[in-house]
Amino acid sequence: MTVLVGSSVSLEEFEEVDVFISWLDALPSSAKYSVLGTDKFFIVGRYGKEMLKRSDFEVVNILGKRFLVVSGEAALFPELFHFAKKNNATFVVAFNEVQNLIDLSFCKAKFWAHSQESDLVVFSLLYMQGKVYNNVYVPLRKSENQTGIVAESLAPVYLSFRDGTLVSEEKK
Amino acid sequence: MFDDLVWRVVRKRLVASRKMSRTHRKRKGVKRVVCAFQNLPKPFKSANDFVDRLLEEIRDDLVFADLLVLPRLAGNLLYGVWPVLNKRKIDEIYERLKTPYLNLLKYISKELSISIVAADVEDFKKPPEVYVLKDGCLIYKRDLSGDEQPTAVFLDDWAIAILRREETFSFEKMRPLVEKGVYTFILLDLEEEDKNWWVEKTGLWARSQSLEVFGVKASPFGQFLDRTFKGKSYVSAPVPLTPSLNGFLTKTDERNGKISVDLDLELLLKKRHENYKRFVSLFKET
Repeated sequence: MTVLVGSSVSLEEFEEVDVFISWLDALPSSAKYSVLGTDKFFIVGRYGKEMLKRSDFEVVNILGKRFLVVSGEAALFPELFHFAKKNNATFVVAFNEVQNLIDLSFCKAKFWAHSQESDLVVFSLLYMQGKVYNNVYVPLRKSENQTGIVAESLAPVYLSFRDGTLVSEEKK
Repeated sequence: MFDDLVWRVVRKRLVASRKMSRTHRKRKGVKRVVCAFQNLPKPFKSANDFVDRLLEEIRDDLVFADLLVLPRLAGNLLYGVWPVLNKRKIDEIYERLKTPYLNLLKYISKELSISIVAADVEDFKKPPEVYVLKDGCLIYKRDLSGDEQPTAVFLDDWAIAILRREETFSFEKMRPLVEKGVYTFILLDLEEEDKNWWVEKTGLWARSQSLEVFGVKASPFGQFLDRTFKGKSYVSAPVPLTPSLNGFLTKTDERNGKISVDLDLELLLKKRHENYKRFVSLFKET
């Protein structure tokens, strides 16, 4: 399964993307599945068609894997990740808006901690002052550099997973 | 016979007589935690030697210190009281040190009018009990090898909880305590393995971020008889409360073994995300 975290502009660079994750954008028809959101709501679409729109959180099946998608403050609490685990999720996609660098660092630390505790892969999109930070965290033992941080950047991130485990990453 | 004679001499040396006092300046909403002996010192030659070296280490913090944390093995270092160490009888020595060490802790707590968190003398067979002392009295003890649940320990106007290592890897045991107003969690650990900081962060540090609490981890570093301990000690806090935005208020290294840190509980309470109850009910409904 290939996952692209970034803007729809970056989507044009890839021939095939299974899951496209982005801060609020138009639903692209080129990705099999899209997960788009903001701090207030999120949309899950398939080949450009909207499947689901929610304002808090929901577990969705995407290509045989369970994704917990969440918008806003709920993602800041470990209970949500416990809930995701209980519902057999493998991935969590979180959309949050932060006001300053302090909160940005805090959210990154929180999502890293949640990923380690729950053993889930976490895609955290943090919006701050017009920019979206794409962060991807995995459990330490599953990360190549043993830090649990796959990406923390403004650049799009292209990832390949096999059975829920990260096999390769590429930053554009 | 000979052992009994030695013990009679040793027992006297295990009673502290050093006079000490301090003026404790309490501050509203801010608590100073001081951890001493993180870099394992040389064995103590007497209880007075223990007191002297402790005072030397915490001298600068004496006025403001609200809680003194002593690492595991601190009590074992009193084996230096024996004139000749018989390693074959070391287990017996540890056993004999238990009561005098607890009495010494009570003495320090009373004389300095300070709360203390310290572990019992280690027997290296199972994790020891951890004590909390206040005004010279033992107010709480937790057996780290048992299965009892952690509870809140109230020290004047704040509360702490003592954790086992396994409990620091999940929010579940800690959340009920947070609900009772415990925002300071303490772990006394003992590690021979040198873990990197990323692995270290998966414990109390991670809980400091997810639950928004303070974490105090004391794990000694250095040589003890023929064993080498490579523990890392630190005080963690939610990122916004740490000046370097790294979630650590302080951490030890090989050169600096002392921890002295102010926990701003008032600021923590102001900054905490308290909305989780709304979401907890949502998770259950779903």
